[in-house]
Amino acid sequence: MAEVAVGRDDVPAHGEAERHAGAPPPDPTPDASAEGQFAELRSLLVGPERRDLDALRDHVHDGAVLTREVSHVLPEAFARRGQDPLLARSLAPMVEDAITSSVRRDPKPLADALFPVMGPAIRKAIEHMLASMMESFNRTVEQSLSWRALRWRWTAWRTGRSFAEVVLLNTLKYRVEQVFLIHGESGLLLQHVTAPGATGQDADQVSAMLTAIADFVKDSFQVGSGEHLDAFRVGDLSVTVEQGPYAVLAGVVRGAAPPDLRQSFREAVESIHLLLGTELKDYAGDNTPFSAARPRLDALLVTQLRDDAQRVPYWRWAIVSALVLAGLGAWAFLGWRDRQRWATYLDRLAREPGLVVLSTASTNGRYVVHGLRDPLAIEPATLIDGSGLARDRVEGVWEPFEAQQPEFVTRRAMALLHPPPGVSLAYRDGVLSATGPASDRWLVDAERLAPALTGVLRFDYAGPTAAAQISRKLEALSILFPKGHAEILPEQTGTLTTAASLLTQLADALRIRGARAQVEVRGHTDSDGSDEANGPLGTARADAVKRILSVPPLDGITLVTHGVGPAEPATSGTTEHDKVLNRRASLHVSIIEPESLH
Amino acid sequence: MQKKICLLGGFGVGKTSLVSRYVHSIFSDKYMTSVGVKIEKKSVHVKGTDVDLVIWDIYGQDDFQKVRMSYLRGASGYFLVVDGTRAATLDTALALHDSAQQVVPGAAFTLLVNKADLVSQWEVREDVLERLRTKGWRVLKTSAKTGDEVDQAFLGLARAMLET
Repeated sequence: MAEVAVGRDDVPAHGEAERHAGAPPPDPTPDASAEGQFAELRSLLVGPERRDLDALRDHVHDGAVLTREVSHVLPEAFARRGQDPLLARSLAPMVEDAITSSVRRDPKPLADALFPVMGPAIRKAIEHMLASMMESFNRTVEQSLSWRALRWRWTAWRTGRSFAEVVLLNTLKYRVEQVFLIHGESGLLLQHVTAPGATGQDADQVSAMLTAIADFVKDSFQVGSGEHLDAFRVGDLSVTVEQGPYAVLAGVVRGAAPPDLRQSFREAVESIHLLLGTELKDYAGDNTPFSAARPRLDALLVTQLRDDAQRVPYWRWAIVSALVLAGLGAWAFLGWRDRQRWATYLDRLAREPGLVVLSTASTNGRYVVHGLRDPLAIEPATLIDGSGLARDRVEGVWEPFEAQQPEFVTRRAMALLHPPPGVSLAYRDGVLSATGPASDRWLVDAERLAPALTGVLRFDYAGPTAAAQISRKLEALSILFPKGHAEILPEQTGTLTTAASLLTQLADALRIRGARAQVEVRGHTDSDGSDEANGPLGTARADAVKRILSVPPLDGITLVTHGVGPAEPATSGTTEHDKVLNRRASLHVSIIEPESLH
Repeated sequence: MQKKICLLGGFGVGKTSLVSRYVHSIFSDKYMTSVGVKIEKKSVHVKGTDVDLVIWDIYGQDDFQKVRMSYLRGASGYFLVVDGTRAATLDTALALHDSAQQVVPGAAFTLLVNKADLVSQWEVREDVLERLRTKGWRVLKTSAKTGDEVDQAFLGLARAMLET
């Protein structure tokens, strides 16, 4: 840089010299010559200085150089002006902007940098909070269980103070409620701290008045110079005053302050003077610097409880713990019992046919069950009673449905079909079966209606039909004849009347089902006599019975005769009595069902 | 910013009633006769600064030598209060001023000639006040009854204290 400057500086000088050494100027006027000489002279006289000057000018205008040089002096400059509030004020907005933009870009680096500071601070704050919570809890537990506490509650109620305040005042050994840092000469208040919960009047005026009183005492009682009012007491309240060269520390103490409290005040005054001596000496009304004394004042706000109040009454703890444990135990037991009862109820519901539990829920000691219920099933609420739960704690929401269990299908069938006495219904695998003596009319209805029941695919009748029953009764009849004859005896009229009546019933039963019957009248003889004689005799006996029974004729019943002789005896014996029983006519019914009619 | 100021004046010049409407105090007037001073407080705003004035209202006696001048220590300014209808109170005030300047040399002050509402009965002559003004004194005519000039008195003194 300097070389360039020198070169440039030399150029006009050489130029001048060449002009003079070479061809003379075309018009060498005396003025021009003088100017040239003057320039040369100047170059000779101040040439080196000009070169330095030019070098300096370039140096100053070169940004890179300037930056480098300023960077060397900047730290020292900051260090020198470090105490100057103006520097801090002017830097503050830039620092704030820098922090803001750094956090916006990526909060992590700043968070990382602050972490070691924040962690302990937060921990300390939490510890402090927990400690004060525990202290207040301990005190409350200690104090809540005594006659004294009741008395204090009464006092609190009477005086309108909070119970905590009354407890504190009664268990307090001493407490430093307020600390004033007062400017000695003017009595102006520099700093003031108050214990949590303590109250005080306008501190500025109190501070001035304290100073006035100290002056008053000093003036009134002619104390020696260097002696001061250092304490005064009203009831259980005292004011401890500690005098420093420029400032006074006054503490308002409730209760009996120990001697070492004064020592703490003494040390605090000394350390405050050490820290803020200049500011105190030159004080002109600006309190800002004295916030630095605050931690020392806060440290003086001591609360000391009475020893007896601090002692933990173990038996009370034991009682409280026992009560708490008992309470917890009872709570746990009742909860367990409720759950057992609820499980029992649900179990009973599950086992009860016709009830289907879909979902259950329990909230705040109340239970809700959703499910399906067959109208024929038991009322679910009646199952609660045996479970031990109170009915009003259980809400049941039941939707109706038709259960498929056999007993429900059967009960629904009973209700629908009304089976006659002696007929019983049973359901299995989709088949509803009826057993017992059922009338054909009922069976017809039952066959038609049963498939309409849910779950019933088919109706089945396993018992004898009415027609079959009548047939059996007819087949049990015997119309007896005298030996060798086919006339109807008068004493057989009753049997024939019965047979006619049964035939009429049979015709009715057949008509309902659309069936028909062929009734064969068989004529029998005893074993006496020849077959040639017995054959026609049997036929004659059958014809005689048929003649009587065919009047009046019956729809659906065809009467046919068949002489069987002695071939089908009623009894196989050969006594005269047996022979009487074998001389007879019998009826044999063949039912032709409708499907076989076609 | 806070400043201590004092109210000085002879007995019955109406110092307390002059300021009572403009200040705040937690203490009763009993303190005046017992301790000999009553503390009051007033906030003013001058020259862009909030100034809390802690006012020491010092019990006035016509025998000024009995006034506890130690109460003046550390004061940045004071009012001298005179009863315009009693010329003797001006003499007391002047004597108090001399004493005060010994305790707080160079402190700002203002002379308040009270009872401006009874100006027809005044014994304090205007030319005397004028002479004091030419000496550079701030002299205000105030009235406890009407409140004339009381606020101006506080503002003026506060301004003067900030200048010194």
